[in-house]
Amino acid sequence: MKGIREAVADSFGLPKDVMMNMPKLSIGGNREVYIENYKGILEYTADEIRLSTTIGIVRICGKNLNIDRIRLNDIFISGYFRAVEYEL
Amino acid sequence: MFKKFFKFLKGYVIIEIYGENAERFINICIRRQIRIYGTKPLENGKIRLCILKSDFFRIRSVAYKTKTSVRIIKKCGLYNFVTHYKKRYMFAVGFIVFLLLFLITSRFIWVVEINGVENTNVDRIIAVLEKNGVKSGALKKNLPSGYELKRDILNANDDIAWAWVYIEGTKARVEIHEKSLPPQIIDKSVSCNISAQREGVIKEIIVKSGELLLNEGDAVSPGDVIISGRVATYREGDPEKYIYVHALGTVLAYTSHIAEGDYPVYYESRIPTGEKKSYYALELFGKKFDLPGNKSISYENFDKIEKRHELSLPYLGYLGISLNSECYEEVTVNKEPLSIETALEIARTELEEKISGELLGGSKMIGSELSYEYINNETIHVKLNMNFIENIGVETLIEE
Repeated sequence: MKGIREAVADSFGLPKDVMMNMPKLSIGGNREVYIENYKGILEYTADEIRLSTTIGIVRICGKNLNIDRIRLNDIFISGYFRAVEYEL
Repeated sequence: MFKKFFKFLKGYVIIEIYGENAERFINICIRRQIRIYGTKPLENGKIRLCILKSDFFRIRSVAYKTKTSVRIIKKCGLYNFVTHYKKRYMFAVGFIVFLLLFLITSRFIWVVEINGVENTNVDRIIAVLEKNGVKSGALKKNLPSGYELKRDILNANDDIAWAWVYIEGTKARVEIHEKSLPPQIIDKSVSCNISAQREGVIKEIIVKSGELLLNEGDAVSPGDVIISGRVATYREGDPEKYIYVHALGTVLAYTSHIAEGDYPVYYESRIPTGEKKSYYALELFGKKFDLPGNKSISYENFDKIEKRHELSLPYLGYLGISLNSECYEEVTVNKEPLSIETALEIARTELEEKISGELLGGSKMIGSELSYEYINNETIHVKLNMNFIENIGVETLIEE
């Protein structure tokens, strides 16, 4: 069942990350991940970072993970990634 | 870089947080607009991060709320730096002395570099520069203007077309542009002969002015008069009477040039063994000081590489301090045999270059002959004989 926001976004062709506050992930190879519209950090270790978002939890696994830059709406993570998963 | 500099100016604290809700601590800090950077997860759930000094007292309530322990690892920034060194008086004195020395020494010229000199007498240029005060140890503000220096250098040296003295920090760089002198031409109103410049057999003579003394096929030596500027104007039996003219003409002659030399019939390849020794010397304001080190070279064969590292700053230029290094690299020399054709080709290139330096303008090659003989198993003696047609005539003043 689509929500009102999603239906409006679909009808007018608007980006869902704007309309629904959905997280937007930009992944650079296996070294960089830039995430917009995250809600908060749930877990932060060198091997795993879990972030809370509007659609659920985004889990980033790898080694030497590091939060390079963190702001209210976006976060920049670097390291050697093995997996980017959703826990819905 | 600017970000780091501003952080240093503002001051920041490196802290370690640990507890069950360390992540929540970060979330609340971000929400309360406490800037966090340089985060690094450590073992046992600890997280290391940096916060600005001004934000430090705002994390107290966050730590209390999330039941997180905070430990200061390091205080950084300008304020801490100053407080740390506040009581170290000698450090401050040393810094001030260094600053003063730096300011004083940078007001002098310590090195004079002359570029672009090939044929001019360098000593004469140095003498002019020293006369004007451009020398090691001269105060920069007492130096004359660039135009005065240029004028004096040009007046003292006829073969210099342009000169300028650039002051770069403590270095005075003198740029010289030499004149390319035109061939010396005798004034048309002055009577002269056309003589042979070098040995040869005359092929063709075109006389425009003067009296022809030799004919085609005659052999000439250097200095022999071919077209005379002294022209007889009397009939046989009459008293001798001459007029003197400026002889003009072209004298083409067959000339021969020989160049010879010894050449190896092997190629020396120098392969570095990886062993190397470096020696350093400190150059302070034109004086060299060898740094301690045993200067004996035990290598049988080695390549020497010299380098100079000048200390210079933007806008200030060279500061008068440089580190000179001499690196000796051990090499193994292997002799690889060369075919006789290759050795002769190398020899021909070098000998042709040697001969080309002796040629007159407008020369035309008509033949060449290369001969060689073995001196020993490793060396050959090569002789190159090249034949040309050259204009050997040159204007010479008439000797009375």
